[in-house]
Parts: sequence; C-alpha cells; structure tokens
Amino acid sequence: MNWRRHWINLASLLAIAALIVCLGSSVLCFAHVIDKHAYFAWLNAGTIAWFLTAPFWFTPGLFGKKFEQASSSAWLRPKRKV
Amino acid sequence: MSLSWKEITGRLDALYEFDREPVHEDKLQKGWEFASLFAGEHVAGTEFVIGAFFVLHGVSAFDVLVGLLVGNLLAVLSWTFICAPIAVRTRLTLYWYLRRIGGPGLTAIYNLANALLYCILAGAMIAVSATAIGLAFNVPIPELSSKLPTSVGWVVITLVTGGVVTTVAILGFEKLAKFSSVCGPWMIMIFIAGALAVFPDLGEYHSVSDLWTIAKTKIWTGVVPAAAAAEGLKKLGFWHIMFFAWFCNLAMHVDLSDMAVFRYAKNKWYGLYTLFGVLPGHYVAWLASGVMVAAVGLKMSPGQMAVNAAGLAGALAVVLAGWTTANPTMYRAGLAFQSITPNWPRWAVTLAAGIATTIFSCFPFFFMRLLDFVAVYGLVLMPIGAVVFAEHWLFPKLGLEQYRADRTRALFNIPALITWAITLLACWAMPFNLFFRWLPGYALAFALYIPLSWAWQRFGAEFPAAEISGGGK
Repeated sequence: MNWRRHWINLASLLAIAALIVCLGSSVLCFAHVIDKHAYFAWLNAGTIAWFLTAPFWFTPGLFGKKFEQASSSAWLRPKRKV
Repeated sequence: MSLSWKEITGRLDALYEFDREPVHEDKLQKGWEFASLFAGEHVAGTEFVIGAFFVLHGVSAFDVLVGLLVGNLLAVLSWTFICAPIAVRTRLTLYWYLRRIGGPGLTAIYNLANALLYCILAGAMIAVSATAIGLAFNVPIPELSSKLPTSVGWVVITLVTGGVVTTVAILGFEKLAKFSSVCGPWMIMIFIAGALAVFPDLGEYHSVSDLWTIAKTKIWTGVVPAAAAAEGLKKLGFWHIMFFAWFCNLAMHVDLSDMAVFRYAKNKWYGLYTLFGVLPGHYVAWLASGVMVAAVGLKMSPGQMAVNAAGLAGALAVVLAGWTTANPTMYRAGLAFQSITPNWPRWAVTLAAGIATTIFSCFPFFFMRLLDFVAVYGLVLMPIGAVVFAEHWLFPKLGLEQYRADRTRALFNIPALITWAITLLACWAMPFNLFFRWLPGYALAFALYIPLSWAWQRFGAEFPAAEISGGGK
C-alpha cells in the first residue's frame, strides 16, 4: 500500500505543477515573453501532465480498492472518519 | 400501456426511497466538501456561450464587471437565506418535502417538467461540444438567428456527439461522474489562460489603464455589434446582467433544488460556500469567454474561440466541458423519466433521455437562445419555490395548517397547482424583458398561494381534492 500512497502524493504535486505550467505560460504570453506557439506547446504539455496525474489525486478509487485505501493517508486527500 | 397517477407516483417514490428519511447528524459534511462540490459544479460548457453572448448583446465593461458581481452575490445570498435554512431545518430533498406540501401528483408533474428542461439544457451543452468537433471537419456553425438545423454536417456532428455522450453515460455513468471532477480545476485554468493569452491580439498595452481601455473599446463596448444587431440581438445593460447572474441558478436556490445538497450542511451559513462555484464559473469564466469571443471577431463559436485562445487544449476543454456536464444532466433527466417507464432498466431510460437530448442538440435555437432558455428554466419552476417557502415559513406565522395535502392524502395541492399555472400565465404576459419577470412572478406566487390555501383550508370540502389510497406517508 505504501508505494501507492507515495504515488498519490507525487501525482498530487505533479498535478499542481501542471496547472502552474498552464497558467504560467499564459501569463508569459500576456506579458509578451513567449509567443502564442510556445504558449500552446506549454499549455498542451500541462494539460497532458494534468490528465495523467490528477485522476490519481482526485479519484484514486478509479484505479482499484487498494488505491482508494492508500489515498486515506495521502497528503492532499480528505481525512475521513472511520 | 397507460399508467395511473398512483402507479406513476409510486414509481417516483421508489426511485427516491433512499432519501425519504431526514439526514442524520452523523452524516453532516464539512465545509470544504461543499466548497469542492460547488467549485466543480459551476464550470460547464455553457459558460463559453454565456460570457460571449454578453459581448454580442453590447454590454459595457462596467455593467458586466459590477453587474455580474452584484448578481452573483445575490445568488449566493439566495442560497444562504432561502434554500439552505429550509434544507437544514427539514434535512430532506425537495422531492420529499414537495411530496408533503404539493401531493404526489404535483410532484410528478414538477419532476417531468424538470426532466424536459434538463434534456434541453444537456442538448445545449452537447451543441457547445459539437462546435469544437465540427471545426475538425469544417462543419459550418449555425448563425445567431438559426432556429432549425442549418446543414447536414451540423446534424451529423450533433447526432454523433450526442450518441457518444449517451453511450458513455449508459456504459459507465458513475465512473464518468467521478472523472468529471478531475476536469474542474483544469477547465477554469483554461478559461483564465485563454483570456490572458488572446489579450495581445486585441491591442497594445503597457499599463492597467491600457487594459481598461481595451476592455471598454474592444470587448465590452456598450454597443451591439452590427452583425449581432442584424441578427436581432438587443442591448443588455447593468440590470439585465445583474438579474441574469442572480437567476441563472434560480432552479437551485430560489426553486430549492439544492435542498438535496444543503440537507447535509451543519447550518444555513454553508450557503456561502456556493461562492466557490459562482465566482470561478459565473464570474471569471464568463469574463474570460467574453475576451475570447472578441479575439475571434465576435463569432459565436465556442470551438473556434477556445482553439484560438488555447489551441488543442482549448478544443479539448470545450468538448469535455460540454460532455462532463451534459452527462449528469442527462442522468437527472433519466431519473425523472424513470417514473413513467414501467420496468425499464436503467440503460433504457438513459437511452431515452439521451435520444431526447440529442434531438434537442440538433436545433441551434436552444444553443443560440441560451440566455433566454436559462431565464425560462428558472421561471417555470419558480412558483413551486414560492409555494414551499410560504408553506414552510409563512403558514405557521399566519395560523394556516402546514402539509394539508399530506394529511388529507390529496393527489394534488389544488392551491399550489392553481398558483403555478396562473403565475406562469402572468409571467408570460408581463410587458417587460424576460430576465426581470421572475421577481414579480415570485411575489405574485405568494400573493396567490396564501389566500388560495386559506380558502382551501376554510372551504376544503368544496374543493374536488382527488384522493388516493395507499399514498402519502
């Protein structure tokens, strides 16, 4: 169960990083630091990263019972009363 | 095959049997659960259309910024002071509370009306997704004034999109519902990113005042664009925007649908958590879609807007925004339809709701007149919200008997039925903009329901109250 909990923790951090990439690239485009093509590339990368990682963070139950159990002690998951 | 009212209401009761009992203290949820629920619920595919329509209706920058803020705050207060207090006191869903107040017959009619409206709404969401898919196949998007399908390509795209959405809903509604929660944070980020990234296309800026100038002269100009005016779009002002933001979720707050959610709240102040939904979904996303439509030359095509602002990720956002929100909407419609479909399995009911939804999605009328449809949606169910509010809060104060329909086992609460019908007729005849009609209509519903109920209770025997056997609680 341990590696699953670590994976959910890692996935949550990567998912947050993916959102920061999405937002950050648009801020850079807004500030004329990067052009629109570069912005699209970063946005697509952030999107792919989000959808690869966020499901483990948001809906661990989709990957089986063991992931769901492991999620109860992960960092950024709700702590439920037993 | 015909069904009696007793059978229909019996089936409805069976569907909602799980929710019959008030929620127990140990099932109450924490505040953050409400915050995350609302945050995920209010970013839909239709946000791409609504904010863009404000621009096409010639709204000014001040009107949209302040009008939306005030309207959304009024919506949050409606959740907090109208919906949540009744939910917290009763701990029941609207279905069961209305069952006691209105009788099973009225509740069945309410559910079916709701189902039909849900199908139209889901159809509009599928049409939004279709605009993005159509881009890949060069399918022309219908014009603003279009009512009927405009091309074979549009019909094919909407039918295929609706077919896929329905199939996925049949195969795995619950898994998709869970997956849709993943999309929420990313989707709002796409709105924000898209709006920021297209700003350079709208003009030069070096300071905040430059941005404000662009907002006033290139986006929310206060003038209906010539092409939109030619299609019959009228100018909207501060009050229109404020009222729209207030009533766009009328079905949930004033009409009390969200009792289903707030029955799990510890107190009425949990209504304030709706701010986590309306602020990103009905403020940030609407402003963002306004910026996006200005950047594509004011063409109402969510797909084109999103692709221009966010590339492939934008196209994916439009498809997913329509898909993930059409799915639960279709599910709710199916739940209501299930009451009149004897012994149909779940998949067959979802299929029926999906077919109805897909047919609606072919007609651009619902998608291109979304602002008006949203107004009608709230308006149709509004009198029932007034009936429940009056019965819950005002009847004890006025010395009137509560839940008479339940006690007498009446199939219909006749005063409620009359109130519903007359209020809707009066709203239809009101000589001012559709957006403003619900508020006087709401007042009229109180003015009708209270004296009619007094008369029903005073001269009850003279009313032809239909009796059912074995119904009621």
